[in-house]
Amino acid sequence: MWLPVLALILGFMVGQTFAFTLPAGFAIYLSVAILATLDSTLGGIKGVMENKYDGVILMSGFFINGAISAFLVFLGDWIGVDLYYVAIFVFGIRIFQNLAVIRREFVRKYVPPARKPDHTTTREV
Amino acid sequence: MFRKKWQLTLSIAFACLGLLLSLQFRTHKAMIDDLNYQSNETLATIARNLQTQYYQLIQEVWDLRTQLKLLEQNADQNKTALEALTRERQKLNTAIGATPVEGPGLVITVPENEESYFGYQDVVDIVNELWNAGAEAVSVNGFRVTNNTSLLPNEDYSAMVLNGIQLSAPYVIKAIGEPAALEKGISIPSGIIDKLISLFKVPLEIQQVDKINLPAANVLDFNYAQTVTAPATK
Repeated sequence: MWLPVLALILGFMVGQTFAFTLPAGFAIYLSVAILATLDSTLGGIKGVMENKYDGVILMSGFFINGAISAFLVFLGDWIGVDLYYVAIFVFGIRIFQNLAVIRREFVRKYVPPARKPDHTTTREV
Repeated sequence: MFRKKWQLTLSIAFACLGLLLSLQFRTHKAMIDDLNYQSNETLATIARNLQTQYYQLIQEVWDLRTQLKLLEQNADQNKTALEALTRERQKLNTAIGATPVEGPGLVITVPENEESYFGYQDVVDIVNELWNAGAEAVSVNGFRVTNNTSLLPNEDYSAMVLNGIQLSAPYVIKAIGEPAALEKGISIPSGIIDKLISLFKVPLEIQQVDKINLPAANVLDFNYAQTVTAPATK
Protein backbone atom coordinates (compact mmCIF):
# COMPACT_ATOMS: atom_id res chain seq x y z
CA MET A 1 0.00 0.00 0.00
CA TRP A 2 2.86 2.39 0.81
CA LEU A 3 4.79 1.57 -2.33
CA PRO A 4 2.84 3.97 -4.63
CA VAL A 5 3.27 6.78 -2.11
CA LEU A 6 7.03 6.12 -1.98
CA ALA A 7 7.08 6.06 -5.77
CA LEU A 8 5.32 9.45 -5.85
CA ILE A 9 7.87 10.98 -3.50
CA LEU A 10 10.75 9.39 -5.41
CA GLY A 11 9.44 10.75 -8.72
CA PHE A 12 9.10 14.21 -7.17
CA MET A 13 12.67 14.12 -5.85
CA VAL A 14 14.02 12.99 -9.23
CA GLY A 15 12.16 15.83 -10.91
CA GLN A 16 13.62 18.34 -8.41
CA THR A 17 17.15 17.12 -9.05
CA PHE A 18 16.84 17.53 -12.81
CA ALA A 19 19.14 20.23 -14.01
CA PHE A 20 16.88 21.52 -16.78
CA THR A 21 13.72 23.56 -16.47
CA LEU A 22 10.95 23.57 -19.04
CA PRO A 23 10.27 26.94 -20.65
CA ALA A 24 7.47 28.89 -18.98
CA GLY A 25 5.32 28.50 -22.07
CA PHE A 26 5.10 24.74 -21.46
CA ALA A 27 3.37 25.19 -18.13
CA ILE A 28 -0.10 25.21 -19.59
CA TYR A 29 0.35 21.89 -21.44
CA LEU A 30 2.03 20.31 -18.48
CA SER A 31 -0.79 21.32 -16.15
CA VAL A 32 -3.39 19.65 -18.37
CA ALA A 33 -1.22 16.56 -18.72
CA ILE A 34 -0.96 16.42 -14.95
CA LEU A 35 -4.73 16.57 -14.61
CA ALA A 36 -5.06 13.70 -17.08
CA THR A 37 -2.45 11.55 -15.36
CA LEU A 38 -3.91 12.34 -11.94
CA ASP A 39 -7.23 11.13 -13.23
CA SER A 40 -5.61 7.93 -14.52
CA THR A 41 -3.83 7.18 -11.24
CA LEU A 42 -6.98 7.84 -9.23
CA GLY A 43 -8.75 5.50 -11.64
CA GLY A 44 -6.06 2.94 -10.86
CA ILE A 45 -6.66 3.29 -7.12
CA LYS A 46 -10.35 3.00 -7.75
CA GLY A 47 -9.70 -0.22 -9.67
CA VAL A 48 -7.67 -1.61 -6.78
CA MET A 49 -10.43 -0.75 -4.34
CA GLU A 50 -13.07 -2.35 -6.52
CA ASN A 51 -10.86 -5.35 -7.34
CA LYS A 52 -11.22 -4.56 -11.04
CA TYR A 53 -7.64 -3.38 -11.52
CA ASP A 54 -5.96 -3.81 -14.91
CA GLY A 55 -2.35 -2.69 -15.27
CA VAL A 56 -2.51 -2.40 -19.06
CA ILE A 57 -5.48 -0.07 -18.93
CA LEU A 58 -3.82 2.08 -16.26
CA MET A 59 -0.52 2.41 -18.16
CA SER A 60 -2.16 3.06 -21.51
CA GLY A 61 -4.62 5.50 -19.98
CA PHE A 62 -1.88 7.27 -18.07
CA PHE A 63 0.40 7.98 -20.99
CA ILE A 64 -2.11 8.30 -23.82
CA ASN A 65 -4.50 10.51 -21.85
CA GLY A 66 -1.65 12.74 -20.73
CA ALA A 67 -0.20 13.08 -24.22
CA ILE A 68 -3.56 13.59 -25.90
CA SER A 69 -4.74 16.20 -23.43
CA ALA A 70 -1.55 18.21 -23.86
CA PHE A 71 -1.83 17.82 -27.61
CA LEU A 72 -5.46 18.95 -27.54
CA VAL A 73 -4.54 22.10 -25.68
CA PHE A 74 -1.78 22.72 -28.18
CA LEU A 75 -4.25 22.18 -31.01
CA GLY A 76 -6.71 24.53 -29.33
CA ASP A 77 -4.03 27.19 -29.14
CA TRP A 78 -3.31 26.61 -32.77
CA ILE A 79 -6.87 26.95 -34.05
CA GLY A 80 -7.92 29.55 -31.51
CA VAL A 81 -10.34 27.49 -29.42
CA ASP A 82 -9.73 27.34 -25.72
CA LEU A 83 -9.67 23.55 -25.35
CA TYR A 84 -7.64 24.16 -22.21
CA TYR A 85 -10.80 24.85 -20.23
CA VAL A 86 -12.52 21.83 -21.72
CA ALA A 87 -9.69 19.58 -20.60
CA ILE A 88 -9.71 21.09 -17.10
CA PHE A 89 -13.47 20.72 -16.88
CA VAL A 90 -13.60 17.09 -18.05
CA PHE A 91 -10.65 15.86 -16.03
CA GLY A 92 -11.75 17.82 -13.00
CA ILE A 93 -15.14 16.13 -13.05
CA ARG A 94 -13.57 12.72 -13.55
CA ILE A 95 -11.11 13.28 -10.71
CA PHE A 96 -13.91 14.13 -8.33
CA GLN A 97 -15.94 11.12 -9.49
CA ASN A 98 -12.98 8.81 -8.94
CA LEU A 99 -12.34 10.33 -5.54
CA ALA A 100 -15.97 9.83 -4.59
CA VAL A 101 -15.87 6.15 -5.57
CA ILE A 102 -12.58 5.65 -3.69
CA ARG A 103 -14.01 7.31 -0.62
CA ARG A 104 -17.10 5.11 -0.66
CA GLU A 105 -15.15 1.93 -1.17
CA PHE A 106 -12.83 2.97 1.66
CA VAL A 107 -15.72 3.66 3.97
CA ARG A 108 -17.43 0.40 2.98
CA LYS A 109 -14.28 -1.64 3.58
CA TYR A 110 -12.67 -0.09 6.63
CA VAL A 111 -15.24 1.93 8.56
CA PRO A 112 -17.75 -0.12 10.49
CA PRO A 113 -21.36 0.92 9.80
CA ALA A 114 -22.60 3.43 12.32
CA ARG A 115 -26.15 2.20 12.33
CA LYS A 116 -27.84 -1.08 11.63
CA PRO A 117 -27.87 -1.99 7.96
CA ASP A 118 -31.27 -1.55 6.41
CA HIS A 119 -32.55 -3.29 3.33
CA THR A 120 -30.84 -1.08 0.77
CA THR A 121 -27.39 -2.16 -0.28
CA THR A 122 -26.09 1.26 -1.33
CA ARG A 123 -25.82 4.27 0.82
CA GLU A 124 -26.01 7.67 -0.74
CA VAL A 125 -24.44 10.71 0.84
CA MET B 1 8.47 -7.12 -3.24
CA PHE B 2 5.47 -6.82 -5.48
CA ARG B 3 3.27 -9.22 -3.62
CA LYS B 4 0.15 -7.96 -5.30
CA LYS B 5 -0.14 -7.70 -9.02
CA TRP B 6 -1.30 -4.10 -9.09
CA GLN B 7 1.57 -2.63 -7.12
CA LEU B 8 4.13 -2.48 -9.94
CA THR B 9 2.10 -0.62 -12.53
CA LEU B 10 0.46 1.68 -10.00
CA SER B 11 3.87 2.56 -8.57
CA ILE B 12 5.14 3.36 -12.05
CA ALA B 13 2.14 5.58 -12.64
CA PHE B 14 2.64 7.34 -9.34
CA ALA B 15 6.34 7.85 -9.99
CA CYS B 16 5.54 9.42 -13.36
CA LEU B 17 2.90 11.61 -11.71
CA GLY B 18 5.41 12.76 -9.12
CA LEU B 19 7.91 13.56 -11.85
CA LEU B 20 5.34 15.56 -13.79
CA LEU B 21 4.23 17.37 -10.65
CA SER B 22 7.74 18.44 -9.76
CA LEU B 23 8.38 19.55 -13.33
CA GLN B 24 5.19 21.57 -13.27
CA PHE B 25 6.15 22.96 -9.89
CA ARG B 26 9.42 24.22 -11.25
CA THR B 27 7.93 25.47 -14.48
CA HIS B 28 5.32 27.36 -12.53
CA LYS B 29 8.01 28.91 -10.40
CA ALA B 30 9.81 29.98 -13.57
CA MET B 31 6.52 31.34 -14.91
CA ILE B 32 6.00 33.48 -11.80
CA ASP B 33 9.37 35.06 -12.42
CA ASP B 34 8.67 35.51 -16.13
CA LEU B 35 7.27 38.93 -16.99
CA ASN B 36 5.30 37.52 -19.93
CA TYR B 37 2.95 35.72 -17.55
CA GLN B 38 2.31 38.50 -15.08
CA SER B 39 -1.05 40.21 -14.78
CA ASN B 40 -1.44 43.72 -16.13
CA GLU B 41 -1.75 45.18 -12.64
CA THR B 42 1.48 43.58 -11.51
CA LEU B 43 3.23 44.74 -14.66
CA ALA B 44 1.93 48.27 -14.15
CA THR B 45 3.19 48.26 -10.57
CA ILE B 46 6.55 46.94 -11.64
CA ALA B 47 6.77 49.53 -14.40
CA ARG B 48 5.82 52.33 -12.02
CA ASN B 49 8.36 51.18 -9.46
CA LEU B 50 11.04 50.97 -12.10
CA GLN B 51 10.19 54.43 -13.36
CA THR B 52 10.36 55.90 -9.88
CA GLN B 53 13.64 54.15 -9.33
CA TYR B 54 14.90 55.44 -12.68
CA TYR B 55 14.14 59.05 -11.78
CA GLN B 56 15.65 58.58 -8.36
CA LEU B 57 18.80 57.24 -9.92
CA ILE B 58 18.95 60.12 -12.40
CA GLN B 59 18.57 62.52 -9.49
CA GLU B 60 21.32 60.69 -7.67
CA VAL B 61 23.62 60.91 -10.69
CA TRP B 62 23.10 64.67 -10.85
CA ASP B 63 23.67 65.06 -7.14
CA LEU B 64 26.86 63.08 -7.36
CA ARG B 65 28.03 65.07 -10.36
CA THR B 66 27.46 68.32 -8.52
CA GLN B 67 29.31 66.95 -5.56
CA LEU B 68 32.18 65.85 -7.78
CA LYS B 69 32.39 69.30 -9.34
CA LEU B 70 32.46 70.94 -5.91
CA LEU B 71 35.14 68.58 -4.72
CA GLU B 72 37.21 69.21 -7.81
CA GLN B 73 36.92 72.96 -7.31
CA ASN B 74 37.93 72.57 -3.70
CA ALA B 75 40.87 70.43 -4.72
CA ASP B 76 41.92 73.04 -7.29
CA GLN B 77 41.70 75.79 -4.70
CA ASN B 78 43.66 73.73 -2.22
CA LYS B 79 46.27 73.00 -4.85
CA THR B 80 46.61 76.65 -5.79
CA ALA B 81 46.84 77.63 -2.14
CA LEU B 82 49.41 74.94 -1.53
CA GLU B 83 51.51 76.07 -4.50
CA ALA B 84 51.37 79.68 -3.35
CA LEU B 85 52.38 78.65 0.16
CA THR B 86 55.22 76.53 -1.17
CA ARG B 87 56.53 79.42 -3.26
CA GLU B 88 56.24 81.77 -0.30
CA ARG B 89 58.09 79.32 1.90
CA GLN B 90 60.92 78.93 -0.61
CA LYS B 91 61.19 82.70 -0.85
CA LEU B 92 61.33 83.13 2.91
CA ASN B 93 63.82 80.30 3.31
CA THR B 94 66.04 81.92 0.72
CA ALA B 95 65.70 85.30 2.41
CA ILE B 96 66.68 84.10 5.89
CA GLY B 97 69.31 81.77 4.45
CA ALA B 98 67.74 78.58 5.68
CA THR B 99 68.46 76.68 2.46
CA PRO B 100 71.57 76.44 0.30
CA VAL B 101 71.15 78.35 -2.95
CA GLU B 102 72.88 78.37 -6.29
CA GLY B 103 72.86 80.63 -9.31
CA PRO B 104 74.94 83.04 -11.39
CA GLY B 105 76.67 85.90 -9.69
CA LEU B 106 79.80 87.72 -8.77
CA VAL B 107 82.91 86.65 -6.86
CA ILE B 108 85.08 89.37 -5.30
CA THR B 109 88.42 88.13 -4.07
CA VAL B 110 90.75 90.19 -1.85
CA PRO B 111 94.11 88.40 -1.68
CA GLU B 112 96.40 88.76 1.28
CA ASN B 113 98.65 91.76 0.96
CA GLU B 114 101.04 93.63 3.24
CA GLU B 115 100.86 97.11 1.80
CA SER B 116 97.24 98.09 2.11
CA TYR B 117 94.78 97.73 4.94
CA PHE B 118 91.53 95.91 4.24
CA GLY B 119 89.21 95.92 7.24
CA TYR B 120 85.81 94.78 8.33
CA GLN B 121 84.23 98.09 7.36
CA ASP B 122 85.29 97.52 3.77
CA VAL B 123 83.61 94.14 3.73
CA VAL B 124 80.45 95.67 5.20
CA ASP B 125 80.53 98.36 2.55
CA ILE B 126 81.00 95.84 -0.24
CA VAL B 127 78.17 93.69 1.03
CA ASN B 128 75.93 96.73 1.32
CA GLU B 129 76.82 97.76 -2.21
CA LEU B 130 76.04 94.24 -3.39
CA TRP B 131 72.62 94.26 -1.68
CA ASN B 132 72.04 97.64 -3.20
CA ALA B 133 72.97 96.37 -6.66
CA GLY B 134 70.34 93.64 -6.43
CA ALA B 135 72.15 90.68 -4.90
CA GLU B 136 69.82 87.98 -3.67
CA ALA B 137 72.22 86.01 -1.49
CA VAL B 138 75.67 86.87 -0.26
CA SER B 139 78.39 84.98 1.54
CA VAL B 140 81.74 86.01 3.00
CA ASN B 141 84.46 83.37 3.09
CA GLY B 142 81.82 80.68 2.79
CA PHE B 143 79.55 82.08 5.53
CA ARG B 144 76.11 83.08 4.40
CA VAL B 145 75.26 86.67 5.22
CA THR B 146 71.72 86.86 6.64
CA ASN B 147 69.60 89.21 8.71
CA ASN B 148 71.40 88.31 11.93
CA THR B 149 74.95 88.20 10.66
CA SER B 150 77.39 90.27 12.69
CA LEU B 151 80.69 91.43 11.31
CA LEU B 152 83.06 92.99 13.80
CA PRO B 153 86.79 93.66 14.06
CA ASN B 154 88.88 91.61 16.45
CA GLU B 155 90.58 93.23 19.44
CA ASP B 156 93.57 94.73 17.66
CA TYR B 157 91.74 95.44 14.41
CA SER B 158 94.06 93.07 12.56
CA ALA B 159 91.29 90.77 11.39
CA MET B 160 87.52 90.55 11.33
CA VAL B 161 85.09 88.32 13.21
CA LEU B 162 81.95 87.10 11.52
CA ASN B 163 79.34 85.63 13.86
CA GLY B 164 82.08 84.98 16.37
CA ILE B 165 84.38 83.24 13.89
CA GLN B 166 87.61 84.95 12.98
CA LEU B 167 88.18 85.32 9.25
CA SER B 168 91.55 85.66 7.57
CA ALA B 169 92.74 86.69 4.14
CA PRO B 170 92.12 86.05 1.37
CA TYR B 171 88.60 87.30 1.69
CA VAL B 172 86.13 85.93 -0.81
CA ILE B 173 82.75 87.63 -1.13
CA LYS B 174 80.26 85.79 -3.27
CA ALA B 175 76.93 87.23 -4.35
CA ILE B 176 74.12 85.66 -6.37
CA GLY B 177 72.33 87.97 -8.74
CA GLU B 178 72.46 89.13 -12.31
CA PRO B 179 76.31 89.20 -12.78
CA ALA B 180 76.53 92.17 -15.14
CA ALA B 181 74.17 94.29 -13.06
CA LEU B 182 76.04 93.42 -9.87
CA GLU B 183 79.38 94.32 -11.34
CA LYS B 184 78.06 97.53 -12.77
CA GLY B 185 76.40 98.37 -9.44
CA ILE B 186 79.49 97.97 -7.30
CA SER B 187 82.05 99.50 -9.64
CA ILE B 188 80.39 102.90 -10.03
CA PRO B 189 82.96 105.72 -9.97
CA SER B 190 83.77 106.88 -6.43
CA GLY B 191 81.96 103.82 -5.10
CA ILE B 192 83.56 101.54 -2.56
CA ILE B 193 85.34 99.34 -5.09
CA ASP B 194 86.61 102.35 -7.03
CA LYS B 195 87.92 103.88 -3.79
CA LEU B 196 89.55 100.66 -2.64
CA ILE B 197 91.29 100.14 -5.92
CA SER B 198 92.32 103.66 -6.75
CA LEU B 199 92.88 105.24 -3.33
CA PHE B 200 93.92 102.34 -1.11
CA LYS B 201 95.52 100.18 -3.79
CA VAL B 202 93.81 97.02 -2.67
CA PRO B 203 94.37 94.29 -5.31
CA LEU B 204 90.70 93.37 -5.75
CA GLU B 205 89.63 90.79 -8.27
CA ILE B 206 86.08 90.87 -9.56
CA GLN B 207 84.84 87.87 -11.51
CA GLN B 208 81.48 87.08 -13.09
CA VAL B 209 80.58 83.43 -12.55
CA ASP B 210 77.82 81.33 -14.11
CA LYS B 211 77.19 79.23 -11.10
CA ILE B 212 77.85 79.90 -7.44
CA ASN B 213 76.84 77.60 -4.59
CA LEU B 214 76.07 79.30 -1.31
CA PRO B 215 75.62 77.23 1.87
CA ALA B 216 72.77 77.60 4.32
CA ALA B 217 73.18 79.66 7.47
CA ASN B 218 72.14 78.75 10.97
CA VAL B 219 68.63 80.06 11.47
CA LEU B 220 67.59 81.49 14.81
CA ASP B 221 64.82 80.05 16.89
CA PHE B 222 62.48 82.93 17.51
CA ASN B 223 61.75 82.43 21.17
CA TYR B 224 61.00 85.96 22.33
CA ALA B 225 59.95 87.86 19.26
CA GLN B 226 56.25 87.25 18.90
CA THR B 227 54.42 88.16 15.77
CA VAL B 228 52.08 91.08 16.37
CA THR B 229 48.75 90.70 14.68
CA ALA B 230 47.90 93.98 13.05
CA PRO B 231 44.95 95.50 14.89
CA ALA B 232 41.85 96.11 12.83
CA THR B 233 41.68 99.58 11.34
CA LYS B 234 39.45 101.86 13.33
